[in-house]
Amino acid sequence: MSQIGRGMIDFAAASMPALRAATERVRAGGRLDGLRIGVALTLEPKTACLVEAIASLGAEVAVLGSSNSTKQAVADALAERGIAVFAEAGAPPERVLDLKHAYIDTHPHLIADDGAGTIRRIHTERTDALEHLRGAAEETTSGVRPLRVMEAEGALRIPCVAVNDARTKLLFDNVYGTGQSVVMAVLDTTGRSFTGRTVVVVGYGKVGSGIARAAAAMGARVVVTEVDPVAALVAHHDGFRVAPLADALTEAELVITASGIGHSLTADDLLAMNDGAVVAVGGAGPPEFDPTIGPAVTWGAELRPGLRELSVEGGPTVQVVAGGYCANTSAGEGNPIEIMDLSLALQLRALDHLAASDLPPGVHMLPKEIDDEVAASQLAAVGITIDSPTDAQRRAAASW
Amino acid sequence: MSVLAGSMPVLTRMVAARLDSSLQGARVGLSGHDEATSVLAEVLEGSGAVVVELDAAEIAVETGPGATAGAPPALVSTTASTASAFAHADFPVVACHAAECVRLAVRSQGRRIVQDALRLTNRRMPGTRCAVTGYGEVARSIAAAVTALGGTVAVIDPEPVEALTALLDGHTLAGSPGDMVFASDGRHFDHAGLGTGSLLVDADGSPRPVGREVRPGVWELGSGYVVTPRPTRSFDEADLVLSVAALALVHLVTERPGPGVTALPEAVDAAVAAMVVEVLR
Repeated sequence: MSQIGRGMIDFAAASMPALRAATERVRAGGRLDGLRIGVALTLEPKTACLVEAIASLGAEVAVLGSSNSTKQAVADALAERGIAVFAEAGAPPERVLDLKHAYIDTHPHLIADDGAGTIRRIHTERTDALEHLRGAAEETTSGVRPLRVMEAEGALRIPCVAVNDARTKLLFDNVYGTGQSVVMAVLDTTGRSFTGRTVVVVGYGKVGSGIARAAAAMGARVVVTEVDPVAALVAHHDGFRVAPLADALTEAELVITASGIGHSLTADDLLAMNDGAVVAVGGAGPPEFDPTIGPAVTWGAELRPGLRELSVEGGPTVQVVAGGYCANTSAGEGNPIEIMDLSLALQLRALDHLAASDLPPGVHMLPKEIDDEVAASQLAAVGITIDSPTDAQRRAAASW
Repeated sequence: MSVLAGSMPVLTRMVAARLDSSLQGARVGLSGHDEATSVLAEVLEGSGAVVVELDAAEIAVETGPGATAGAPPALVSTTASTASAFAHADFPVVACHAAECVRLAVRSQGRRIVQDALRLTNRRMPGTRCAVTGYGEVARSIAAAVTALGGTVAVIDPEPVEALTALLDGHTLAGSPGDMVFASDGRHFDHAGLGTGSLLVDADGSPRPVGREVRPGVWELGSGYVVTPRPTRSFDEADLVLSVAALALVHLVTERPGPGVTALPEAVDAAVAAMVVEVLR
């Protein structure tokens, strides 16, 4: 098992030049040496590359992984190298809770979090961990949102770097990465084509636009649903039909949620769908798709690995990908390697930034020069050169 | 009926409804073994046909590429290679490969091959520099999928007309093979030209001197890697091809064409197209 995991980690590492560059950059500063660092990102081969990069810088790393997305072979390969791994694929809820506490018990100085799960837990039931915790780097849109709410309410007690909001993350991971990985996971899991099919995308933020684009590339007729007028207008200009969810679902062969907000698709909504239609989640895990609101539902047979029937009382029997967890991480291997190269390079730089700067509690952007440096390192690796502004252009940009 | 029958609505709903008593008692052998073939078997049995092993069949139906061997008493073929292999047969062959509905399925192979290359490697397509060997039907469908997903395409070793078509489609003619090479349409790609860390997607199944398996399904090849997309098809592709095959079978039984290759009547092709339109509209 761990040998397969090792092979997958090494294969990924070979296509992660930005992470390599960031590692050497951070090594020169020497600031992570001797720190305890927690990493709670989807535990798959690319994340493992980040974990091993941090360990190579002299830090003591603890890793937390969820029960539905952890790739066990990768977790085993990390454990074999002496990393403290708190992740068991398929673990029951009570065991998962034990693992989360054991992870926090390592009393990390810095954490890389996904969905702000650990940050929120530490601010509520595990405030003891605040004693050592100097800061956190947050990976996702659905994690930055609650952090901003905590900040506004004065509840946030540590500095958090919104890695998600860096341009080199948001414009790539969320759009191209999630777009490709969610669409491919749905195609792989269902064995269907999108050709000529109506695919409804719920939400047209960065992730939704990427999913819509990839679905259209695979031959789908895409219909977008939105609650935000500006996002809806963008979808319209990108050439997609925009309709209310209740109308769009009546003709959907597939619906993919990409809202990042709980209760965006419920059992009530499913009543409008046809028998045999497919439901998949591309934004955040439960309760983005929430079958508990509305008529009673019954989970039925597993049709293929990762595809299960769900019968709605008085309505259709639909097919749900990955039980309503994120399709790309739960029914696939997560975002593509070269995309995660950017996101994880930013994560490493964010951890170093937290160690280097004495930031006050609150949500902080990653400095632009770090963002630019990470983008430039991948450009260099793929052999692309760009221009610098001329003096005349610099003067023009600074004038009024 | 298989729980996946709903994924093949044309065959299981519309074609099945058109299968009258003409297939009653017919002993039919199916060449393929995938999930879609088992759906066809259920549909045929539902119309009174008896599905048997190929060597005991009165009529063989080629349900997947190139699996029909020997000399059956009668044959429905779905690929050009099988039709040409039996060009001088002394038994009736109904050839479906030129039917537009079958060609549409072939043209959707590109998307599936690209999908499988990405699944096997977890690599990205946006920004990836790809190459295809030649610019035949499958290469064209691969190139279209690559560009739709944000990659670029260079064409290696095209014939002059292929080169012109590729340029007018917005592709380049290769200088180097780039990050990902798709070998298809029976064209050979010399792996010596593969760059360090680059990927050969071998959609031909040509034997190659591979090294270590670095992750499941990914093998070292020279200084790069090679993957072989799985030969399975989507239910939608299978729905098209097997719907045509089922109606070709009815044609064979009711019209009893003489020995040799007979093309599928255009009316059957059009009937299947109309059913698919009905499903998709």
